[in-house]
Amino acid sequence: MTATFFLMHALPGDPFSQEQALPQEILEAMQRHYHLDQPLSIQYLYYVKGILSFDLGPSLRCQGRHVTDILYQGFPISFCLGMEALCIALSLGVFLGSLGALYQGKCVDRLALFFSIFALSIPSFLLATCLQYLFAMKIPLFPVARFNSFAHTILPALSLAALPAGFIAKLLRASILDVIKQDYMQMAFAKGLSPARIFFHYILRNALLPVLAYLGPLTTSILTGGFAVERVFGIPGLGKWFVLSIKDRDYPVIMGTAIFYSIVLMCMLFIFECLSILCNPKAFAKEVAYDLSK
Amino acid sequence: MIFLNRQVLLACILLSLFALFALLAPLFSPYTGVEVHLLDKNKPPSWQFLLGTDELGRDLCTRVALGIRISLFIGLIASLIDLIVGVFFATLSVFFSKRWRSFLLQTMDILYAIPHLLLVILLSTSMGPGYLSLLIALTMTGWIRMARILRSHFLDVKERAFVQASLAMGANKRHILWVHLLPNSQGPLLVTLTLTISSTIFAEAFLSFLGLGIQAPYASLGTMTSEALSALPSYPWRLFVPGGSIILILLAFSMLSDALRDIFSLGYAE
Amino acid sequence: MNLLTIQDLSIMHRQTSLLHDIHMHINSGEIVALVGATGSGKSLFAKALLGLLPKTMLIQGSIVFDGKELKDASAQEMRTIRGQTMSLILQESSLNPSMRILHQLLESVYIARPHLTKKEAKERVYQLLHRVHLEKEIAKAYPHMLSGGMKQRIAIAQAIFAPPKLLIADESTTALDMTVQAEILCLLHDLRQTYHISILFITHDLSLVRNFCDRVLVLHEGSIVEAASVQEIFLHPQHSYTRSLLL
Repeated sequence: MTATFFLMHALPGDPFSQEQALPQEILEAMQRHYHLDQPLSIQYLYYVKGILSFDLGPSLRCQGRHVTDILYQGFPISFCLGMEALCIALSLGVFLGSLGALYQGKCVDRLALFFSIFALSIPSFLLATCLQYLFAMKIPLFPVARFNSFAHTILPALSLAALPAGFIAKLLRASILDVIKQDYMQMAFAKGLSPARIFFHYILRNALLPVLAYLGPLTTSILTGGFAVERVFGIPGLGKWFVLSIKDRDYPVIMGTAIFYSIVLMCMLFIFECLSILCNPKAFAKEVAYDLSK
Repeated sequence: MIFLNRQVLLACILLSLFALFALLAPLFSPYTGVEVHLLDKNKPPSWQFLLGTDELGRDLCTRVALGIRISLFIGLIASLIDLIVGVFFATLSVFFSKRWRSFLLQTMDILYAIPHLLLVILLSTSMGPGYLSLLIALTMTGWIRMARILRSHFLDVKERAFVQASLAMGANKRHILWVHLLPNSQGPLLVTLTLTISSTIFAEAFLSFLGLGIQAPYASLGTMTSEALSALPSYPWRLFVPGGSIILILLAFSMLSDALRDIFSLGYAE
Repeated sequence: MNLLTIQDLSIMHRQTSLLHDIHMHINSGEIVALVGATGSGKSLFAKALLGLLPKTMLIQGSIVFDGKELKDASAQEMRTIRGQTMSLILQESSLNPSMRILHQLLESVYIARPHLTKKEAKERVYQLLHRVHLEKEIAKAYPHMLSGGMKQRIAIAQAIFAPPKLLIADESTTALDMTVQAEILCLLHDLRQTYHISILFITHDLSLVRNFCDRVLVLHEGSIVEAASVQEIFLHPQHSYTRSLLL
């Protein structure tokens, strides 16, 4: 994790060294403020200290607003949206994947497969615009933009969830098909267990393991995809500020948001990786030699 | 031989259609796609303007063809570079001495852990928008996946009997690489290549949509989609034409990689 | 007393006959061996008894178990039979890898005695483990931590809780080494004495059955070619295939 922080820190060094549009004095002032004239290790310490005291600097464009304010405002919204999309993706993906696997070869399977292939090919922002056009403008089922109620979140969350859902569905289907061939499945039936129990405890519990491994990267793609979707739906989350700051060349905001986002994504990756290890009994429980006793 | 598979055939036909359209349409079109016809702005598809016009009166048909050119070009070039760099690093990681190998692997793991899109965005912002920076940003991040997959495949092949026999007979590393490892890696190579192309085109469209990629007056499909956004209620074709093209292109590559995966019987490991 | 009577059983799959003209019976408390090469249809037979064959396979003939014709039984009835009167043990990989032993054994306990409290059920599980000569601590483990012999003991524990009237052991000792094999067979023998269970012991290794089984049925290419008591089979094998197995 530390190595990643170093790498992340190494990158943002670029805007300051390469950007010539900024007047020289401001450049130097920022450099001094960010301690860029110090050796890298000291920078790292200042950086960490800065983060710990939540000082990420003022925004260049919007006077009187600190980057931190922007983050506080925007992040919860983006995060909520992301989590909602994740939930939808998981439920939809697991549902379709299981359906496809259990009715393998039949109509339902083909339909589910077709849907997942399609879902994997549509970029989230395109889906967002399509959904917005179809369901908000042509057929006024959902509100078009802004973020004022739960209904506002459905279309954006759906467009973010489609790609992960397709991926999960495909992966889970393949995984379930593998699991069904195992001996313990036959044993489950032979024990006389109810189909529901067999499905949840024998099939899903084992088949979800490979899916869990991918949950981290999927979440990060949802959170980054959020940038574009927020733009489409006019949602005042981090993505909107980020895109605006890029257009305005508002460097502190860009850097601050980028760094913050990277940290959040790294944390999510880490959490999900821990989760997948915890859920896999073979990973965390060590081999113990038990003694036979008579 | 692989063209006998129906899915591969379908995907290739689709892609060739797009490529042909992209190559030929601008040549035969009476418009340049950049010139402005302010009197005819925002017109729906008609015989005069085959796919309609945008808000500056530019012919969409030509523009989309040019956009496809750009998107496909960037996708292919970036992926090819990724392929070469990936092969290079995969070879290094398999053949190098222990010390270098672990260092290389660590770096690759770290880079792989960082979310791809975020890295591309950061690199793009730090280098300023534009063609070249986009290309550099995409290539600098895409090779890792290729290198990782190839590396594990190389390790597999290296353990097989015929390679061991070859080593025992005194073959040097270059020989093993060119004669044994690479020809036997067609499967993972092709599959990962199609996946890389697909994700590069996606990343490029995403960035252009955000305003980070190709700048005016040139437009890739992503830029056109973003321009169409504000005009959505009244002029939907401006969105559907470039948007539909992106979807179909990505769909084609996705089908292609799926079919290739089945042909070479690889799992869904990566 | 007849526990299981099978008459004219045949199993077809898309025009291919997999098993045909099977006649056999098992009495209460008997250990009957079903011997045959891999692919002769032994496991198919076990699945047919348990009602676990896929619907694409056509079953003809009569299977009467404990006075009930199994072919007419509904899915719900079959599930009850499988949970309480007929059990199965397979080769060693038959335990769910993502559940602790305790929970897997609890499943079997609750199927047979749904009204037990949690504490009582846990006690029964510990008693079961003791009966198959395993320690209580094993209950906290996951299957991948245990040796093959231990896993088979747990599988046996699962199967005998109810206690069932018929235990089908499908190649249950094949993956174990010789000493462990002998221990498992010993255990099964003891359990038969204690609970008066009938055992259908399916194997491809005829030599195993000598000191263990009462009767032997030899399955060859889908039909039973010889059926006799253990002594008869070993002293006077009638069919050429049986003789080839003894060599």
